[in-house]
Amino acid sequence: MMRRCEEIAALLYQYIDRELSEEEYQQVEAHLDECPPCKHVFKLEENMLTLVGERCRRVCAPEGLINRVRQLSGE
Amino acid sequence: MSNACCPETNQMQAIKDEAISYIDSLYRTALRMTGNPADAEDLVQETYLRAFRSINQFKPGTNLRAWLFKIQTNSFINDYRKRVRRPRSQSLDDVEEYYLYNHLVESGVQPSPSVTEDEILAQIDDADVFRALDGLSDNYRQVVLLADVEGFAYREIADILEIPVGTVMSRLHRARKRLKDDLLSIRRQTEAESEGQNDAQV
Repeated sequence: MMRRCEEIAALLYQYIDRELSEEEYQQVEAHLDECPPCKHVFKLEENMLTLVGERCRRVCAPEGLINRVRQLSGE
Repeated sequence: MSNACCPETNQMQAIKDEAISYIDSLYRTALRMTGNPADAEDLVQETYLRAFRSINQFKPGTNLRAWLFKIQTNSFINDYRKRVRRPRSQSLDDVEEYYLYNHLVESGVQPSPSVTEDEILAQIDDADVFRALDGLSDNYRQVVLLADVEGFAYREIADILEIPVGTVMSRLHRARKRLKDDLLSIRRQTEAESEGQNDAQV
């Protein structure tokens, strides 16, 4: 049975985070396939969180810090 | 002297080497939590110092990356945050939920109804993301960094922060909602500012 939009919206983050049971995941997928407005909202949220992750992961530790930590590991 | 006769020493060194492979993750999280590179480097170095000293307590086969994040989080909360306060990050989660958003609206940034959220998100750059993250409270920023940047599962985040899984979920929910509002507001403000500069140049 198709779940209503509000029920599906409540599962938004668990869906994006892959924290739903297989059954719930399929229910959400089925709803999104037939509900373009919900699909748009889910996609927008997912895109935003992906963007935040990608931008932050570009930052790397400075070489000097890596060398100091390597030294610590040998002590 | 060779360690060939000491398998335990070799195993410890292997764990330390694996720990060092996670330094980028720890550093970028420390950078966003402290807000400056010098403090971030100190925090990461302190994290490794503590980790290497208590390496015997690490159970091989368990999640080393999560163990390091737990040490760093404790250092941040118990040492760093007691010494250095961020003025904008003192209030409770609920109280400051829409602090930056409201601040931007009060400062005269008007949402433009003709531009969709998709279009705004497409223009967001690194500085916008960092500014929005820096505007979150420590509790909110922590869960977003652990989930959306480092990809930890709810259960792992709960272990790192020593809070229930339900709290992780509710914090993430509110943090992301606010992050999105702030990102959209910041982008609108950046555009309004650059339009203002262009007008001034004409």
